[in-house]
Amino acid sequence: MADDGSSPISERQVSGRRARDLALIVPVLGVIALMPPLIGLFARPETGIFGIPLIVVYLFGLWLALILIAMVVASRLKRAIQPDDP
Amino acid sequence: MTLRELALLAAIGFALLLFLIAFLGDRGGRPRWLASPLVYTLSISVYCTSWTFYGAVGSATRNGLEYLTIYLGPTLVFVGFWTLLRKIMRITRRDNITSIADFVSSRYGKSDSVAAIVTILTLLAAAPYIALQIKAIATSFQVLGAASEDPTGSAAATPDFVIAFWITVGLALFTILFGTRRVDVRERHFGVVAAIAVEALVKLIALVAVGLLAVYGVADGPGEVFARMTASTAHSGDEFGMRWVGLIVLSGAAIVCLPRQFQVSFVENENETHLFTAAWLFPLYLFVLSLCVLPIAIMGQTILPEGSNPDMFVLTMPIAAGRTDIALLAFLGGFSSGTSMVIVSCIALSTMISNHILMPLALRSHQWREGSGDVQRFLLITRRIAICFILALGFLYLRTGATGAGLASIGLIAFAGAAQVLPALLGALYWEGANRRGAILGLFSGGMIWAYTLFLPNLLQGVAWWDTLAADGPFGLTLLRPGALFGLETNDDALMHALFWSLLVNAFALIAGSLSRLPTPIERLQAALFVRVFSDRGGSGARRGRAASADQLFDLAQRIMGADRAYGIFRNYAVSKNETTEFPLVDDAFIAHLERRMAASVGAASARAMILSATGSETISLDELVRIADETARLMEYTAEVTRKSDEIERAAAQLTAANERLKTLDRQKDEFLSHVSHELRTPMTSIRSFTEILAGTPDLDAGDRQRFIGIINAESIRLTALLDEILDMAVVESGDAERLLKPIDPEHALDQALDACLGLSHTAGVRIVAARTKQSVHVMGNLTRLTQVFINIISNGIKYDTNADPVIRVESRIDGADYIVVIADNGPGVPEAETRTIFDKFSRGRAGITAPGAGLGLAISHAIIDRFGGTLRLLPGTTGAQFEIRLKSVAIPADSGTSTVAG
Repeated sequence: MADDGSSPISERQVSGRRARDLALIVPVLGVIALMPPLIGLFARPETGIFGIPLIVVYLFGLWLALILIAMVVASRLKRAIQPDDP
Repeated sequence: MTLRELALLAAIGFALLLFLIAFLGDRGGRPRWLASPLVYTLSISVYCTSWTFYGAVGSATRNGLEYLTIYLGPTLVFVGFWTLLRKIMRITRRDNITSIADFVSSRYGKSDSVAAIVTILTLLAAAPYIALQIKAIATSFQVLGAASEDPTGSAAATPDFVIAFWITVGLALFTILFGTRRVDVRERHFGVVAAIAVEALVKLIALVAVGLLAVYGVADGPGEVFARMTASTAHSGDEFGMRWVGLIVLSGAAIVCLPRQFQVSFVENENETHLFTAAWLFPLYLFVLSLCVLPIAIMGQTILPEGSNPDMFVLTMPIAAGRTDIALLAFLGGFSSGTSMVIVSCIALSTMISNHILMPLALRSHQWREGSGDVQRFLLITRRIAICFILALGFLYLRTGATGAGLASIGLIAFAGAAQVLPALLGALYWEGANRRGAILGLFSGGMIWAYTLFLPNLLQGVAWWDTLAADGPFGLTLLRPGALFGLETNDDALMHALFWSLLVNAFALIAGSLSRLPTPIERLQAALFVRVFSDRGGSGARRGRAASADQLFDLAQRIMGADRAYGIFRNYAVSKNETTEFPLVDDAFIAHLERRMAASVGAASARAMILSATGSETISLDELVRIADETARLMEYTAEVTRKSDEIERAAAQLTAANERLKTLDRQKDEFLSHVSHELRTPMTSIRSFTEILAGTPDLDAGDRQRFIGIINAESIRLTALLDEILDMAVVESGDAERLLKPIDPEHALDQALDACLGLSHTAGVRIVAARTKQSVHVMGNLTRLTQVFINIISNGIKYDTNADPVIRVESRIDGADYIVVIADNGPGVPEAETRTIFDKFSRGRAGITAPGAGLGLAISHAIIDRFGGTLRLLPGTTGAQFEIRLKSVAIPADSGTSTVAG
């Protein structure tokens, strides 16, 4: 650990900073993806995936993706804030 | 047992269970299972009311995917929790904020009026919302009861008011029992949180159950559901327009601004890190609910007859599918959704009403100032009354029939009302320049427009005068029609119309109002504390003019929090500071601590008012205070220095000018004197020299001439000696050696001698001397010879300068009290005005223009002598001729010295 030149703390700090940046940018990306005109691209009644309308897949898929990213970001931020926690 | 009786029984049983859970949750202070992030997240799910539970299906049936906006907005806010929610959370926990109204008013200078406006606004918005919940529960009863005869669920178009009434009573009972037990809001509602967490679980389970039934019981799996979906609900790009955007913004605002959401998300929060879990878990909860709504809507439309009420699909679809057990579960889910919302709303609103409307009024009343009121009791009673009032308002709203529209549209009216707080809230968090005036203007204008364009049209629908107004505009001004303000047509979308105008004007008023004046110190302080909550650890409050003792503050605190809790706060603080006394030292830190603790009970504005009235002081940030003080002090110091320096310079300049004038005068006097002395010395010297030369050069001079010349030389020598004596005299008197020994003398004797000495002179000059002498015997401290010299000096001076044709010198002596006074006056031309000041100066020749013998030292010597005697010699002003006055202090004659002093 000593020879690679980076301590675990600085790694965690870097990770915390990346998580913070992500926490700021993800909701913005979410807003852009949910607003016209982007959402209009997926509002095509004739298109479907396995019989499910594209827009439904898009909305719920995006939603789930947001939740998953938030989960990762939140757990990283929590670790960055409370470094003493196991 | 009919389904209706079963439902009633289930509802009562479930209600009893909730009471038990709330009771257990409240007992023992802080149960561990309650302090988990899961419970926290479930309690936030109070967002999903019966509007979600029943109404989302209705909305999905009517408007397709639009219902998702209500859940996508909160999802975005929670996913972005790091930016907004965490900041609100930190401030709320730090300052013991009790409600959204408290939060906003705290930020804007702890203003009562801001809090009151927010309270009234949210109360107005909440009334239809609460009515909606009561209606949904009552309707669900009726639908279950009539399910066998009427599977459409549309029989319950008008709610059963008897059921609605008893539901309202039950809700009031629960809320008062668990919502107003103690006063401190922060540690308050464990029982309620526990109950709504359980209800949130019931909601989720019930809706998932109905959803699964729709997919696998009614349809043959997801495939069939989606196949029908494409057929039944047509999707075009149209629905993702302005309304889609507006609704996402609106729901995002509501998740923060709704009083009940603020209550559960921030006020009831136990641990800040719970937010990190809720950030994804709450969106997941919404995701699951929304996912279940879709198949219910689709399959409900498929299997239920035409004309069924889509708002009741959640109940009617399981019944139609023959699953009464799931229908019953769904009923309990709906019951949970409705009751949890009403309970939390009532708690939040009653806190706001009592803290921000009733408490400020009471604080102003005379009774409270007298100190007799028990604030704790007052708060509990007012909160209970407020809860009854809010529920009564909701019930009355229900009776007016204004809730006829779909569940979703009424919910959105409430959302739009709560969203009016958003500009003030965002300004509070991100713009330090926002101030109270802006907040009040924004909230007021936004609230008015919301009420005019959305709330009143819904409430007064069908009322004749309102319909006329709505159609033609007020006073026939079509431009002001509530449905199309300033001619803005939005295709009958009243919500978007109202939202656009109200938020636009609101935000504009906030900005304009804030820019129109500078923030006050308290606003600046609070702005910094809010906007820079993370970077700035918050300047500690410093108070000026503190005047309260620990006992006084304790008296105040126990009236608000109760004696036990107040005592606990005081003791804990004292112990934490290692103080040996019972109560802590009343310093600024303690007052700030106490104010925050009290704020948890009565809100920041009221707590501040109370602390101020107790301490009689003003809170201001220490940094701010220091900065202001520094600036002021620096400025004042600088000004004072400049003033002082310029004064000094002015004074110095005046002194210099005077000194220069004096030096010039002295220099001139010295020159005059020297030229005079040289002249005086030169004249006798010249004659002495010339006569000695004659005597030396002409040995054959006859005896008569020789004798005459020697006589002249002698006389000139005497004159020279006299002149030199005079100069010497001056030096002796100046050095003061001669007058070191003063004795009591008879001044009249000195005057006698002087008059005798002058007799010859006056006779030669043809001057009469008139003397008027005192008869009394008197003695003064002095030297007889010197005093005689002074008298001779002045009298001979008079003789010399009196150019009158009939010159008379008057010499007068008298006793004036303790003073012996001699006035010597001539009837000559007097002393010119310009020379009165310099006449006693050393080198002054006096009476310029009149040539007289002498070095001009006489008066200077006299003045110096009298000065040594402790008396005064002055020229009497404003007289014809020159009048000199000599004033000496008379002394008692020593008994032993007798007349011997005369010779002294």
